Formats: sequence, C-alpha cells, structure tokens
Amino acid sequence: MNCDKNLNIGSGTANPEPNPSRRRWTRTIPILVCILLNFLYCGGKEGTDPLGIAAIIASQTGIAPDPGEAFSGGYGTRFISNPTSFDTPVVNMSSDGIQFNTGNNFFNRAWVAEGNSASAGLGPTFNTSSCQNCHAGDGRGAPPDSGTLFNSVGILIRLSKVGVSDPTTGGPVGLDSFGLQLNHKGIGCVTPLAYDSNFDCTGSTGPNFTPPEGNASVSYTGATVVRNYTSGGTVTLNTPVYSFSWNVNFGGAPSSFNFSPRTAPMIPGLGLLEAIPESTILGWADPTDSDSDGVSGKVNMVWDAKNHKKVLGRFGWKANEPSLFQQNQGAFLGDIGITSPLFSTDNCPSTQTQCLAAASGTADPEITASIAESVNFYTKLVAVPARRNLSDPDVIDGKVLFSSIKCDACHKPLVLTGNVPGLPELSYQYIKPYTDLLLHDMGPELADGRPDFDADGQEWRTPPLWGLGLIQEVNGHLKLMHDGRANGIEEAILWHGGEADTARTGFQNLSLTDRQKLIKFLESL
Amino acid sequence: MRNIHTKIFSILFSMTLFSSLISCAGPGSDNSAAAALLGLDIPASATKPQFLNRYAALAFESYTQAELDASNLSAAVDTFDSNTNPSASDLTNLRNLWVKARASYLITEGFRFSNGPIDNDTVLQCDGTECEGLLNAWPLDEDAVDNYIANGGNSVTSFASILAKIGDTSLGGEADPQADKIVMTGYHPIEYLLWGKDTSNTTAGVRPASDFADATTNGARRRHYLKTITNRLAVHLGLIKDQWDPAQTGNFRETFLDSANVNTSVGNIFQGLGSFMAGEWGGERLTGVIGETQEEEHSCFSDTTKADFYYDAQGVLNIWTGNYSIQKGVNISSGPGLSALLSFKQQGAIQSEIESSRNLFCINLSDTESADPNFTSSCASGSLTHRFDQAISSADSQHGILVNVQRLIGSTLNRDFVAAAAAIGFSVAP
Repeated sequence: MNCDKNLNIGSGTANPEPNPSRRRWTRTIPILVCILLNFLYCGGKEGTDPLGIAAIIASQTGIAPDPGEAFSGGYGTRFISNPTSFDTPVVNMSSDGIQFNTGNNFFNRAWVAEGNSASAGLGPTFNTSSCQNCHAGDGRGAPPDSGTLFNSVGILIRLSKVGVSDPTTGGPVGLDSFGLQLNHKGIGCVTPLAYDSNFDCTGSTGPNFTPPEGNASVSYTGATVVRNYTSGGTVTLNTPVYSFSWNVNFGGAPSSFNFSPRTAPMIPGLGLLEAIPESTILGWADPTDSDSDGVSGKVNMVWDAKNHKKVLGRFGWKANEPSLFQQNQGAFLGDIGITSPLFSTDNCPSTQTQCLAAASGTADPEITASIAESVNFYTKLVAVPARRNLSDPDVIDGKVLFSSIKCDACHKPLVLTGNVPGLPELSYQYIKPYTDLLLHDMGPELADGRPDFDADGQEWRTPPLWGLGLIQEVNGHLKLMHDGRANGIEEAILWHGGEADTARTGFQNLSLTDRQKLIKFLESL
Repeated sequence: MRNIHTKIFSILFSMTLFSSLISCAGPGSDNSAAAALLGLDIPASATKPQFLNRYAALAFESYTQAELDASNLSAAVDTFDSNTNPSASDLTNLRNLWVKARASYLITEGFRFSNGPIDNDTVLQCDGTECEGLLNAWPLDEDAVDNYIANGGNSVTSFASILAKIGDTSLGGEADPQADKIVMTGYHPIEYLLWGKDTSNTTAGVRPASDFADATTNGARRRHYLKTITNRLAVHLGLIKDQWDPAQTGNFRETFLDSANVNTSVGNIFQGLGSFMAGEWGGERLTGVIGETQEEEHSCFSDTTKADFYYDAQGVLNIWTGNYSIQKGVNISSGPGLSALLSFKQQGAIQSEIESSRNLFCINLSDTESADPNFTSSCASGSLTHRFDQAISSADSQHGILVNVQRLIGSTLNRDFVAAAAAIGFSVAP
C-alpha cells in the first residue's frame, strides 16, 4: 500500500484533481498560454482560472503544483507532530524571520494593566492578558467542564441586543452597558481584596481600578440529544446551559440579550485561508440550493472597518471578520483591552464610568501600527502541520467514506490559493483546509440565536479541519464545535444538523467499522 | 589538561587570524571557501564529555558569581531596611549593587531553555514553582507591587505571603492558571523599588530616598518588601548553583554528565542556545525595535537595557568559547567550549557574530551604569551610545544599529548556529 492511492481519492468533480502529473500539464500548455495572455491583458481580474496560473508556475519552476496529500498547508507544511505542532513558521518562509519572531513575541506577551511602564494597556476590562492564554500553543481553547468561566482559558461570550442590527454596518449592536462581549475580568480593586457578589469594588481608592462586567457559568444539565446508529447503539449529547451574573456598577442584568459562547480557534493556516480567492468561495456558494442537494452555503457580507464598506467575511465562527488585520486588532481590543490603530478607543460603554476613568492610564493606541502588522504577519505564516498515517488502509477507506456521505460538500478537501502580493509562501498553494468558509444552517440544536451580519442564529461557518488530529497532543483536550460542547470527533459529527442532516444520517447509517475508519481519517488530518 | 589548553590557544589564535582574514574579504566571502583556500580545517579539539564537564563547571562558576553579587546586594538591603531614614547615597549604593548583580545574572542566561535547573521545574523548583519566572519575569505590573505594599500590613515581611499574592486579581493583574502571573518577585520588582517609574526618555526612574523613610506613607513597608524579595533572590540563585555543584551528589550535574546522557545533554544545549537566540535575546528582548515604543524597554526603570544585551551576548560567548569572562577581554577561567566540538570549518562566523552583537552595545550611561563592570566613556565608533529608550524609536539616528543587531542575532547568528549544530548531527528546531 502506498500513499499514492490516498492521494488520488476524494477529488470529486467539483474539485481540481490533486497531484497531476507533469505530462498532463505539458499537454495543456497551449490552453494555458491563452489563459496567461488573458490574465495579463485583463490585469488578473477575478474569474481567471487559478488552476491555469498554478500550471504556468509549475511549468516555469519545474515543481509539481501540489506537493501531495501530506502537505495540508502547501509547500509551507511543517512535518512535526508534538506539542509544538501548531506553533512553527511555514517551511517556505522567504523572509529572514525577524518579523515572524516579533509577531510571535507579541502573541505570547502577557500585557499588564493600563498605566504601567512596560507592555501596558491590559483592560480596563478584559477576558485574558495575552493571545496565547486562549490559543495555547497556537491551538484551540475549551470551555470548563462546568462552572465559572473566570479561570477557564479559551472561551468567551459575545453579546448583542435582540432584534436590532447596525444600520450602517449591518452588524450586531452591543448592549448599552456591556458592549459586544462579556469581559469577565477587570484591572482590579484596591480594597476589599476581592470583589463582592455584585462585582462591586466597595472602598476602591482610585480611578485606575475597574471591576469586571460580570461572569458566566456553564453546566451540561440541559436538554439532551439522542442519536441512534442503524447498526445499533446510541450516543447522548449534552447541551450546554449558560447562566450570567452582572456587575451592578455597570447597570446590572440587561432586560434581554442575545449571546454566543465562542472558543478560541487554532492559529495555523490562517494566512492560507485568507489567500483563498473570493471567486473560489463565491463559486461554492449556493444560497438558494439551486442544485437541490440540500446544502446551500451562503457568504457573510461583513463590515470592513478600515475601508468602510461591506466585504466577504471569512474568519470567526460566523465568518464575521473580513481579514486577519481586522480580526487580530478586534481581538486585541475585545479580549485583552488593547487599543490599536484600527480600534483606537478603549472598550468602555458610556455607563462604565470606572472603566472610562481608568482607560486613560496608557495613551491610545496602545500598540503601534508596526506591532499590529507584525502580529498580522505572524498569524499569516504559522505553518499547518502535515497529515499523518496516509498509507493506513483504514485512513484511505475513511477518506472515501468522507466523500461518499458528502462531508466534502462543505469541508472542501483541496483548494488552490490565489496570489498574495509580497507573500509567495501563501500564493498559488494547493491546500487541504477542509472548509468552504461559507455559512450553513446547522439546525436548531446548535443554534445560538444570535444573528451576526448576514448569519442568522442557526448559521455557522464551516470550520477548517486541518490539524484536527493534533489538538489532543497540543492542547490536551478535544472539545469541538463553536462552544466546545462536543467531546471528541464522534460527538462533533453527531451534533451536525440542518443542512448537514444528510451527511450526519449518512454517518449514523455506517457500520461501526466504517465509522471508526472515518474517524481515523479525520485523526490523520 | 595542559594539552587541551595549548590546543585551545592555537585554535583561538587561528580563529582570530581567520576572522580578520574573512572580514578583509568583505561581504559575500564564504567561510568554507576561505578555509579551503588556506587549506585549514583543524579538527574538533574536545570530546563531548570534555565539553560537558566544562559546561557544568562554567554553569557552576556563573551561578556562583550571580549568587555572590545578589548576596552582596541582599546584605546591603538588610542594612538599608534597618535604617528608618535612608539617605540618597544609601539608595545609590543599592542601585550600584543591583547593576553588578544584574550583570552577573545576565551572563547565566545562556543556560536557559536547555532543560536545566533554571527553567525546568521537574529538575528544580524554587518555592514550589519553576525558578526563572520568580527571578526574571517581565513585564512588571507596578500597581500590583504598590498595592501589595499598601495593603499587605505586616505580612510584607513574609516571602510566602508575597508568593501567595501572585495571581491575585485584586492587586491589578489577572489570575490565570495557565499563564504568566503577576510579577511580584525577582530583578524587575527590585529594580522598580530602587528606581521607581520611568516616565522620561532622558533619565531613568527618579524615586527619592525619602520613599523609604519611616515618615513616608508605606516607606517602612517598601523597605521590608525590598528586603524580603532580595533575600529570596539570593536564595533561589543558590538553589540553582547547588544543582551544578561538583561537591554535591544527586544533583542535576550528575545526571547531566552521566555517560548515558552525553548526546541528550549536548543536544539540549544546542537547542537551548538556538531558542535563546531566536526567541529571547534576539527576539523577545528586541521586539521594541519593530514596535518602536518606549514601553518595550525591558529594564525600563533603571535604563540599563543595553547591559541586558551586552551580558546576554557575553553569556553565549562564554559557552561558545569555554572561557568565563565578565569584563571584556579578561578570562577568569578557560576550558573547551561548544566550539571545541566543531572542526574549524564547521565554526562558521559564529564567534565573530556573537562578539559583534555584544560590542554594538556601549555601556556608557554615567547616571545608571557607572558601577557596571564594563562601564566606559570611550565607545567604539558605530556602537550604540544613546539611551536604549531613545534608540528604540526610528526617529533616533542610532535606531538602525538596533535593527541590524536584531537581524544579526535572530537571523544570521541563529542560522549559522543551526548549521553548525547540524554539521555534527544535532537539530535545532525554530
């Protein structure tokens, strides 16, 4: 058994064929020349066949355009499977690494409270003090087994008003007193030495001390979902239930609100996802399900804060962020309380007088454009780990099953990136992200009921699956889905609903052996 | 032993000669080509066990000096604590002793990341936790230290009570089980207490001695806190030193030198130094060069950040050459360094790169660095003579020196080091 068999499996008609031979490219060169001419004369407009471009590059460089199935992240793929698997630069890094190292250092940096001398700007309210606290080892966050989120790492709560969206941006509107995110930490009180049950800093002696906005707790004592297998056996899924306590200083409990728990996603490959051409994503979209396959796929048009217009969203659990530039600076502000060139005002709603008073402790923006850019560069160039166990017959069978039950309708197994100016590392790479970056209705059981731009309360973006099999190794858990409710891959599959009903029932109809093979394939990613 | 020394001398001599040859050849010259031209390739001059013995001795000597200097500071702080109204010169005396203690500690930083006692808590724990974080964590939350002193009552004299406060959100930082916690101990809190906040880029912090007077609010508590954490700093350094002490049994040194562990020990040293270059010395410490904000200065209270780079380089150079040196050009002891495991052709330009990255920092600030072992008023042309918190800005005429040194350490030196390790079969991951 060799890897080649696995290489050639699973490329449905909708996908370009992986690893084509050199001879095939040679035969198509006359056509490619036409494409090249078209490309040059039309200034590279969208719609130019990306396969053709890859072929031209291949013919000029003498390298095969797709280095093979193991190379999940194209030529940048890093062959390393240990706790550092998500935390290495792409292998094909063309720069000297200084900017990558700098970005990495800021990613790992523990920020301290506003008003300090060095690395200051944390808060006044925040969720955690550094990027890596939630993205440990550049990997995935998880909810606590139960109870308070206060000391848990890697999950936060998005908030918004019910039934309203911003007339300009089309996005959700934050709560008057708490904003768009529950910051369950504040830069502290002087006395007493702990907050009281109302999060009140009674006796606080200075303006530089801000209590948290509140706290959330989770339990798994709510409704259950029972999934049966045709071949026998059932799995019971526990639905998380969240409860909240609110700071009376900031107005106490809101009368109504939407919320969405979000775990921290892994970092590897984000630059490659950003490099997927819009035309490719739009080509997958089928919002009206015109092919009647039960799977639609919708683009989320979201607000680009830099250019003040609506653009295609691709990051976040609801594809609600258009770019890493905006995603990263949004996280600096929303999660850590650090102001940046893009979001230069501290995150203090007008009712939070203590927060507003403390916010002047460090001049805004607290990070410079070059720091923001180095973190941006870093998040673009973290390598995707290679696939493993490719020649295992079960893994090969598992990949066939993945396609045959139509998981690949959304989890796209092979994608070609476009041109990224200045970053050849990310350009024209065949990647295996297993996502279409589109929104899909995932049914009522997974719903958060919180619309986010064009995504309704039941819609979620297909998450990439690359690296899935190494999360346990890196992060010591395998809590999956947007809120980490699924314990492992099997539960994650069984949580799928809505448009994914067909694929999920396909899984339920498989024999135990085939289900195990499919999971073994997913673990090889 | 005599033979080894002679051999090292000849290699060092020829390396010096070689360095001058390649520097004359100008940019683009290829070391191996030059060596081939000269017909030179002196074989490795030490075995791995010989090198490891020297490394262990160097570690012991380095931590012994660091502990000694910290103890001298600690003893002076004890006297300071007993004075209800310390004078400006009492405070200056402490600052000078801190500068010396800091220099000898920084020289030990090359031993980090190598699975040794400094930062591997399965080898050694200081008060129940990994040692390095208690000694040298950064950035400091000054409010947390101030709040603890203001609220700590009599408990400020107990190290255990200070330790228990690490992670207490009420002090100003956050409690996070997996992350760096509030920095309450080590060189930087001591530095903060001695100098105070630095809000200027023309001076260091200007805390008055009266901040420590009994008549001042929290003055006595501030002295007690300073005493408690300085005493403990010396104790922790002693614990690390003991792990390298040849007179003790059952310590890390024994495992490290065990004949069964030779390749593991050498591999850990290569990996550790590689991580130190790319991640810490040429990475973390120099991030301000790209960030360009004064807040990125590490020793920001004392404005002694240039010394951080200088002695980090000296520490790496010591491990590379096998010489223990603090003052430039003065070797206190010698033996086979890491370079002795490599043949002449495999050395690359590593030694000259380390020396260049050291010499780019001139220790010339008379207000804060006059007690430094390498303080000088005559700086080599092209070296960084400005204050670090000024040069960190691209508007400063010497900013380019910092950019170049970051590239030299984090990129050129690191690349050459990885190649040298690979030449004798050790892989250094990024």
